Amino acid sequence: MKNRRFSLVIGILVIALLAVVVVRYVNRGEEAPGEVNLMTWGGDFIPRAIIEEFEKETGIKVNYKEVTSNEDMQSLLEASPDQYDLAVTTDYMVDILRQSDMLAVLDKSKIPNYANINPVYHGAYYDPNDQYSIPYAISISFLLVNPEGVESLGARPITSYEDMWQEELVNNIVLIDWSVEIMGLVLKSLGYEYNETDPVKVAEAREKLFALKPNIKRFETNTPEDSLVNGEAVIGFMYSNQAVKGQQARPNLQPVFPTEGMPIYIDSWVMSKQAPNKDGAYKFLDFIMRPEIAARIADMTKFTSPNKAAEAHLPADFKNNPMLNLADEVVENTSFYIGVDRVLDEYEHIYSEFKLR
Amino acid sequence: MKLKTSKFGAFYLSLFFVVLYLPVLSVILYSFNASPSTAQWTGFTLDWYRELFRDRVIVESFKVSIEVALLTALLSAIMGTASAVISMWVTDGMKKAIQGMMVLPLLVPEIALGIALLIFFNSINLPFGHLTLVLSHSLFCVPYVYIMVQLRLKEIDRSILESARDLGATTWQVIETVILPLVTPSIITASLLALAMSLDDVIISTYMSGAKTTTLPVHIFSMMRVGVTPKVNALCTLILVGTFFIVGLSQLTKKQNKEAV
Repeated sequence: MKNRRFSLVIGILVIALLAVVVVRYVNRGEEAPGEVNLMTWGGDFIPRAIIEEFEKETGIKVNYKEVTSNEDMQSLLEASPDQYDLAVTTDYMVDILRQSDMLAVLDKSKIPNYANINPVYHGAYYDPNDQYSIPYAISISFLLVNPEGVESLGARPITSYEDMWQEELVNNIVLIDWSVEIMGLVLKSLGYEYNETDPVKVAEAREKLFALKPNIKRFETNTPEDSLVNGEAVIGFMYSNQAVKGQQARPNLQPVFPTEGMPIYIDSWVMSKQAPNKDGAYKFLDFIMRPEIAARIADMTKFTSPNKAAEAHLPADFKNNPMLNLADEVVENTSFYIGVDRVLDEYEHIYSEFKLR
Repeated sequence: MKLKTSKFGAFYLSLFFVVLYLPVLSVILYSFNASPSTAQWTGFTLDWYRELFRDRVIVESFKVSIEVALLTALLSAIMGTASAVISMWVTDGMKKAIQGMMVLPLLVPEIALGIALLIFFNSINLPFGHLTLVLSHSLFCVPYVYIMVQLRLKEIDRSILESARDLGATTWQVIETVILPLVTPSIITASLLALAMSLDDVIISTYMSGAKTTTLPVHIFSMMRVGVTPKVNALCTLILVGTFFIVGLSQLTKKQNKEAV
């Protein structure tokens, strides 16, 4: 009797499983015409509140696919180019997707608000003629400095990377823990470009990097600002959103945009060449580039907006924050990391030598 | 001498557990920190938990994850048990072949499996969503069920099965009345393991969830670009509690299983 019941239970479970599967299968049939599928970083990188407003206004449903890396976006786009309309992806990946012919040429006549984009962001290396991409979120890295701390150690005020090599700063610097970033900082301090391959210049950078070692307190990628907040370091090289958080926690911390130049990271909208709903995608792009919408997105995500017209709509604390509302002179003094794959092995090798010293 | 080694052993073990669990404890601690930064402790708060339950995306992706995990556990329990029971009656060579094929999905790197499944499901035009998630998760969960059930089957005294046959039971009756009741505790333990593994998966889920669904781990990992809020500490704390609960449950059934023998 007990066993009969046992097999009955198993039987019911199997049927239930099949039923659920079948229902799911049927529900997920062909895509409804009024939907836009976009893919990018999760969290609220594209704020849900904004998406909901768009859905309400146009009746077009937006599906937000969250991914964890640019490479995931690449594989998903390559395997199913007809499933996604839009993606927001980082500079170098725009270059890769463009060169592998995955992207649609954008019809600017369908995006009147494209005119709001600050010309300082036009013509980036990954899209020289601005045909395939529209910048969305910008961040840079620079130095966050505790000026009183630097002074009390007896060092000169910090204005450039070069100033980090002062003997007085021993054990007082925190750095992002990534070889390309740190080698880039040293190369810039020598007046060279990022991702230099010339062996003579790289050897020179290596020596200079090793000389910085006594001044390093910590390597920290996720929360470098904490070292400045709790006072264990007086200089930190970090991403803009981290510096903003650091300054919020300790208002005397100041950003320093090094005179030699800084790295910039731009996440841009791109459209799949086989996008199923191009018209809907254009409507969405135009919507998020409205000045007041772009301003709200910037304020919610704490990324710099490339939207020039949005500036008037930014809240005061964002607008007056030089780390968030980047001045054109700051942007002009930035460069991208181009061709990381060419230098990665060598830089990683030098960097691990440096860390082990 | 013996005392000395056991003291050293105890020291080593406690060090090991401190290293293992200290980071976990810090997550729990910071989920109650009023300041969003981990640099300072500014006081006790439950705000992050409140915010967590208000976050529609987290709640929805959690529901997807749970649904997929339950179905995965069920499907892999059925398929894993079936293959383990069937492999009792095949030749030794065949058995080895089945075993080899079973272990293979565990050895293939997840990213390779994810992309292969993506291309495969795409080519047979299967829409991505819950179904593909359940199928792909079952792919790496079935082997665990198979292995655990098979280990249990090996312990069963063959003479019990033979006497059942002597008394006139058909093969199906032997399976139904003798084998299945004996392996049920193993099946439950293995399904709980499958449940936990399905809830954990990021890489395969990224590729299998399609444009419209998101699972919880994918959602959390994809937040890195924007920055993780202490909400995630709160979430991790809840997941930890849940996981400990599941593990505890599986240990308990294991114990009962032993006592039953």
